[in-house]
Amino acid sequence: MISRANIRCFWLCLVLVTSPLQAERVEPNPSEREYALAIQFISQAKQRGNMDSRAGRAALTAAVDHLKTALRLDPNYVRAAILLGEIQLIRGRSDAATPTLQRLHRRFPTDQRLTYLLGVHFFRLNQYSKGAPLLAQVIANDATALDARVLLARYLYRQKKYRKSLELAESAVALDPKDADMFGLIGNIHLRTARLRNAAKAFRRVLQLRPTSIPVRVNLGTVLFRLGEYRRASELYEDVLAKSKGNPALHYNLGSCYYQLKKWSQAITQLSVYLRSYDEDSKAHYFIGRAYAGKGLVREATNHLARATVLDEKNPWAPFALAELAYGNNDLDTADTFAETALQRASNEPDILILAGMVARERGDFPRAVSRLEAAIPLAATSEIPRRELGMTFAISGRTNDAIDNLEAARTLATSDMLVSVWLSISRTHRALDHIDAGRHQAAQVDLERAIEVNPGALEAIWNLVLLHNLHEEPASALRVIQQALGHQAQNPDLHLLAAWTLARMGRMLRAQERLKFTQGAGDSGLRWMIQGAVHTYLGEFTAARIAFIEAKENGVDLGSALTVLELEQAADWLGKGKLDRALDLVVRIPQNIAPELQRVRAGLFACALLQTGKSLKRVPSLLQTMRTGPLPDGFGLARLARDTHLVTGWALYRYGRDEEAEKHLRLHLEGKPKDPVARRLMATVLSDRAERLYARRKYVRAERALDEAQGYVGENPRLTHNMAVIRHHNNMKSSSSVFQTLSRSDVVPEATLNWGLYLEDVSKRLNTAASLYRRYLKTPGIAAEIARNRLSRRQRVFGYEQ
Amino acid sequence: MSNKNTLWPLAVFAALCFFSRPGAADTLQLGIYAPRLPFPDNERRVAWAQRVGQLLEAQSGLSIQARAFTKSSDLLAFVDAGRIQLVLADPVFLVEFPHRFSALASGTGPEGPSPPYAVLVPSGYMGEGINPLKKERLALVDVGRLEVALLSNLSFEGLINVVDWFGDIDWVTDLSEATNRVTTKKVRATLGYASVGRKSGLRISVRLRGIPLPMLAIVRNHIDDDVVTVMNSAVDGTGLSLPPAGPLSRLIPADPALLPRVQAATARPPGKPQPRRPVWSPSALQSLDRNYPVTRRRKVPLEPPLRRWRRPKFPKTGPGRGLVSK
Repeated sequence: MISRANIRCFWLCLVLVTSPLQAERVEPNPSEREYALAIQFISQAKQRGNMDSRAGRAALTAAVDHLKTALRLDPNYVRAAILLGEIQLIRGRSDAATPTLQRLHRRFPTDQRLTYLLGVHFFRLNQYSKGAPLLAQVIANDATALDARVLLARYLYRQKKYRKSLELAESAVALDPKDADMFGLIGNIHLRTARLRNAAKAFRRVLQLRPTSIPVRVNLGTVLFRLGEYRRASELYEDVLAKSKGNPALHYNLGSCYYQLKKWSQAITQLSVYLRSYDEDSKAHYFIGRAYAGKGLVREATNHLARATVLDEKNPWAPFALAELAYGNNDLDTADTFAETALQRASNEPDILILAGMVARERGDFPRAVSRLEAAIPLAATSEIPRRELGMTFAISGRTNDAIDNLEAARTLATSDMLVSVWLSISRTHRALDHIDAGRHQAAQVDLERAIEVNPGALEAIWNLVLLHNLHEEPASALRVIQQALGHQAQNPDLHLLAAWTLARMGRMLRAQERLKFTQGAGDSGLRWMIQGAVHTYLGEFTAARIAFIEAKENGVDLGSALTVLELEQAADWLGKGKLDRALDLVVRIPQNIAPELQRVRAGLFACALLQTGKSLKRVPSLLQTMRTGPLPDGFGLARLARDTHLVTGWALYRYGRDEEAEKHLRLHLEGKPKDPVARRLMATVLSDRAERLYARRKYVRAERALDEAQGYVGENPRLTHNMAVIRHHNNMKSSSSVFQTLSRSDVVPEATLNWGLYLEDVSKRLNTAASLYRRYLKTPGIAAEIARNRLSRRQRVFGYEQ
Repeated sequence: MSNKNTLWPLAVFAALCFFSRPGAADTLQLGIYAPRLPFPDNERRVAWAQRVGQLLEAQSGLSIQARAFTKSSDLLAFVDAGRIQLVLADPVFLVEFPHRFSALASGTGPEGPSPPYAVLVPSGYMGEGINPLKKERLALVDVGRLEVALLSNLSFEGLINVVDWFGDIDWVTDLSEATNRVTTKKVRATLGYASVGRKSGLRISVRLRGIPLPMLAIVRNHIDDDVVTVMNSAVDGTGLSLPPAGPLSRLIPADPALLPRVQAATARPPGKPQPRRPVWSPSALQSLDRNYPVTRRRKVPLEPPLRRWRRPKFPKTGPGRGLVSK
């Protein structure tokens, strides 16, 4: 189509072409005269308004006649043919112009003007296929051929050859930067090719050149809408509607913008206006229905969406919206019906499949839910939603492994989807607990660590991982987990409680106590009491500790042996402070049906108390036997006693005269510690006592052997030497008396003095010497003083005076 | 032994009594020889012997006839003749013939089975101990040939040999005669039961170790076992009361250590004590010499995992969670 602007261009060209002719000085031939006359009539026509007045049209007709005459006179008169073609273009008589122009174009094919004019006339005659090559030829040979570019660009746009059209349009606006039409064409091309930002830019340029253009505003509004710039689009539409009322489509567009901006009331207003004109528009009903839904007006929303569903029986979104609406109102049956309706209309729409799956899941129909959601996955391969919903469905239906697989896949697609993170974390935690129940702690740890990784605030996962680390006696690892978690939720009382507990387990009681200050509101008060009990025990506040432990027990905490340990601690404390009787009473009260390890501790403390009080030493051997049944826990200071159990047992048995058993235990002790001086001394004593008994029974050989062994343990010992002489006295009085005499010189062995005296009296009849020895013996703490006293008194009694 | 002949009328009387008893074969004959017991005369000695026999008879249910002897040789002759089945005799006599007698019961009294012996001197005698009595004349009861050893080694505990220490010794038949001799100052002193000496008006110069009272014994191979059993049961339990004679007032089951002690004392030469076994130097009661201080551990084991696992709940799905955005 040739516009008025083009025609004005032709006139300009005509003036430029004709002006030089008027300067000819050579006498013109007849054809040129006709040409000159035509020029005169063209001038008259111009003065008289050309085609706008009868006189102008008459002048142009006269000019045509003269030019035809000229061409008759000279058929190859190209200038006349061009001028004729241009006048016919003005007169809209392309059919009359084209034969002449075609004839001359064949003769002069390189003539640019002729080619261009012929191309334009072909376009006038809608013979675009003939005109387009001619215009392309002109453009190729003339970089400034603006009109040819404009014409060809528009033609190619209509032919949907957008790339070529865009090139020509852009070259045209380069030649004429104020060509609003060409910018409009560029905008449209971009709009068609979905280069929305470029389109918006072009339309904005048009509006700069032509600010009042309503279509361009509408177009720009469309582009902005599609760009999601609903607010700016709505402003444009509002502006257009303010200037040009009555276009329902604009209300539709504006309503759509409001809809997108969730300005439900305004959207409803605009769409209602539109629907007054187009009540059969299903899309308008759909949007207004959703706007009503957005506003919470379910009945109106349902009415419009139902109407949309009926009006367009192929569109799935209205039933989809109805399904969503029913789902939102927990009307699952209705939701299911509409979701299935939507699916029948569009079985490959992932959103519909997802909603259908969700509705089925909520109705407990897990197989159908899984089927729908699995169908949605390939259709929305880049969306995490179907995998997320499928994972959630599996999680709810107890298929934890499948849940985790799908939630992990969803997380790969959308790391920031919190719903995925939360569900994945919980599913991992569930599986970890299953692993723990089955004893697969390593696998449980992996799951819990991943649960925390995807959701650092997952308290249950943190809690369980900390417990697991504690179960493995890895308190440092547990503490690390807690510290990391506190980095995300520093005020969480449960985390502080875990920290306190772990620190208490590590024996860092003061730090645990510090942490307890932050556990206000923690979920596990039993555990809190437990820690308080441990801290009180550490501080030696046993009554408070006992109360705390009882509270913990009442709150469901399995105390294990804590109360027993507390009592053992208290007993140890009292023993350490010398409160022996209280310690002894407490130890006696501790029941014996406790853990074997604690039984050993109890036995050890009991034995220590008895050893320190000196009471009931008879019980010590059996206590130490209990102590020896296994290893002792660290602390309590019982390690030394544990090392010496045989020694102490031997000593206690010796104290109670059970020398044979004492000897057995001492030998066991000496096997391990052959150089223990206390044990050697005790052993020598026990052997010496045995020798004494044997001597009393006149078993001299065995007595001598026992005493010999005793000497082996303590070496040369005056008492043993003396007693050896006592044993040997029966068959060698002289030798043994010599020993008695030697030893009697000191009081190391008092009995030596007595025995020497007895020998002197009984054998040597040296009564006076013997008497002096008896008297000396009486001054020493000799236990056989009665003998000396008897001997002295007998002498006094029988003889009457000392001999 | 110079006064031995003065006792022969007693022996004749006893023999007459023995032979005049009818049915002797069915009756157990009890010979009593207790020269250390004080009897003023022989008649009382016989009467006492008969009462002893009656008591034994009543207690055992056996027929027993008692006969008192004043000389050990007479008793021995009766024993050798098989005419005595039971004896109540001084231990010295019994240990002199250790294979012929078996002890059934020990004599005892308020001072026990071995009442203290003593050196008895006239009441006016002021000396203390035996030193002043050295080489002084002494009256001793002639119990048997082991009497000197018994007195030296048992009563004097081997401190002296009685024969060597004192001067001449008048051997008399019983303790009454000995005390009479001291009272009449025929001798300076005698040795006898302290209680007897006190009753006789003598002074106890030296207290000595006791000498066992007469013992009831059977003559081996002259008596059935049944009879032995019956006799044992007769003195069993609380013993059998006898008519008092000096320190003797009861019979009790025989102390098995009594005769061996007498035997040991008489086996050694007089004045030769059994050397005492040396006294053992006992070990001092050992202390352990090792302390086992107890310390408080200050740590309560908090046992994992306390079964406090937490299973999180899935968030709510469905309408409450929100819609799928299209």
